[in-house]
Amino acid sequence: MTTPRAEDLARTHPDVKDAALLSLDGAPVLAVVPALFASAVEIRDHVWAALGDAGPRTVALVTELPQSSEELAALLPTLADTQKSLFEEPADALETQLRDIVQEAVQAPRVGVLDDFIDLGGDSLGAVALSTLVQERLGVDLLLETVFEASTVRGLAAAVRAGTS
Amino acid sequence: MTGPVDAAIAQAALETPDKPAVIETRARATRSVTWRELDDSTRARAAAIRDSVEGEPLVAVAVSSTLDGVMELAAALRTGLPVFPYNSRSPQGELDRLFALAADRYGPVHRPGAVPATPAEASARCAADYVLTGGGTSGTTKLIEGRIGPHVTSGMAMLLRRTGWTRGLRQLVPGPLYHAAPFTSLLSGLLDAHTVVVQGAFSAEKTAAAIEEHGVEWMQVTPSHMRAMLESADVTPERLTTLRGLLHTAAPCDEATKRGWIELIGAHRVFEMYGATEQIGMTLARGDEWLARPGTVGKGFLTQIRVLDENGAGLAPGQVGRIFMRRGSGRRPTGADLSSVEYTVDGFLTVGDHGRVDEDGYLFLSGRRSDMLTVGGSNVYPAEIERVVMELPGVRDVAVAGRDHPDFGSVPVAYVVTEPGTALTAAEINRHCRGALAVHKRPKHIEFVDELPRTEAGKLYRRLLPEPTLRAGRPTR
Repeated sequence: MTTPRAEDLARTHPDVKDAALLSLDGAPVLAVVPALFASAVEIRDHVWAALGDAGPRTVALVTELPQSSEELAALLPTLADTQKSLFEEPADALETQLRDIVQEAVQAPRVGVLDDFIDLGGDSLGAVALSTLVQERLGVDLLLETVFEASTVRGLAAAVRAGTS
Repeated sequence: MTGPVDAAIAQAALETPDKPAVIETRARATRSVTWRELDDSTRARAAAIRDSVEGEPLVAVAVSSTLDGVMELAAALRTGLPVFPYNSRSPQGELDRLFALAADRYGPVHRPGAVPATPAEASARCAADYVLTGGGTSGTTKLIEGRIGPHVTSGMAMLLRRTGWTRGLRQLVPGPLYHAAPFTSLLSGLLDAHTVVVQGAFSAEKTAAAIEEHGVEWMQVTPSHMRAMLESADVTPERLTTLRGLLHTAAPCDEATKRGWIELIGAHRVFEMYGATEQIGMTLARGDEWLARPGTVGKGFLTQIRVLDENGAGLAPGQVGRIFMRRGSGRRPTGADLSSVEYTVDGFLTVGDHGRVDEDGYLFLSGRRSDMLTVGGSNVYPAEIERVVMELPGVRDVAVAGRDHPDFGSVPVAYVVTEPGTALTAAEINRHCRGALAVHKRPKHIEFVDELPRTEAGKLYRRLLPEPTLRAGRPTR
């Protein structure tokens, strides 16, 4: 039995209209055309749920599928942060702590340090949970605005450092 | 009975049975009910509504800003059935269209006191908790669905608490309860055990008296309300000392009015919210933030803001483009009426308003959706008025545009091209509009012109319409 293909798995997600797996500098990139709109992080997790670590680390939301790696390479830098999800592990202890907090606050299966809070499913309730947990464990008061502005584990780490310095 | 409103009313009656729940203050008399009385009577009324319906229809409620009006609305909300507040004073033609539209989407509509409509063959239960009417850019009325979530953690409830809102306070609702913002304020007040003060039709004098007499602590208003109150000699700082939060929405507020209110009650009590009935995200600005950046409508609240050009490319701070926001309520496009909303692939939504953000993320609006007028805080779409005027025999072409008005912000003016050889008068057009359009939508001035500035494709250059020859706002009847 063969492993399912990432683009076929992506198409089983209700928000996805079409998908293609391309490669960029030897790494797989999943390009996705949403039916209306979608969360790149959620599509990535949807594919990962079946493929595990073999799934692509990058998902890009596009209006039209690129036909080649060259087209993709030209397209990627023009995309907004929330139009692509690039999974990245924490770089230090603070990011690890914040990653765990975000994961708990939004109850996401897996959180990369560049994943956007709203893309992870974060809402007003999640924002309250997040700032409460940050208060409890790190002793820093985060404004709700900061949760949405900083929006990623990496951004939150910067905000926490600014808040404690 | 079920649902958050039912539970909240029962809970408030348990905690504060003798506290006033609703106060109606009129010129000659004040009436009120306590939370226990509200609980008892709306419980019975809700059961009666439940008994009189088959299935789970949309319950239409003719609302008025009176004690009885609030009680009827509270009772309908307690049933757990989807509730559809409407303006009973709308002309019959408009109401007929409205109910036909609702029946098309949700099946039979129950109107308490009216003969029940015959059940349609297929009618899925409306999935919303309430349905409000809004104007679509196409000029057709549209229905906007709302849900009553877990109250304390809903984005709206969190925003309200930033504006001096607390559980149990005394709130005045000056706006009509079938409009989204006043309805939402009332609903949140019911969920938060408020004492809600209503006063029938708005007047600056009544509002000042009600605030003083009942120690009103919070209210949500439109810039029109604010202007009227500033102009009234009855409105003095001494009478407003209990007010700890004033939240204004619905339309851009001019600078003089904003500064007037900041002087009247202090910058830390004046709040401005920008959002859309379509719930695409919202911003909030406190008075002191506004003073530091005059004209701002604030930073995004539980959302992210992006300004994009017409091709969808991101714009730098300071550049004007279309304002996109994200709903801070999860990722799914479900539950949203997206018919008048544009969106990006990653879920940023716009209703077409234009503006810019500064380096710190504060939003400034430069224009509402291109054609829409805001008349006294109500959205009016020229296309709806144009459609009604076009119905008249003898009208060849018509265009409606907004003209500035000192009290209402703007008023609609109709430019009419008549068929050759017809002797159509402004009076005849006005008469026709009276039967088909709510009062704020009727043209305040009719201008007869030889032709309209249109492209070859027929698209109207609304900005090229001439200034009316009569002062806008002067009635032509």
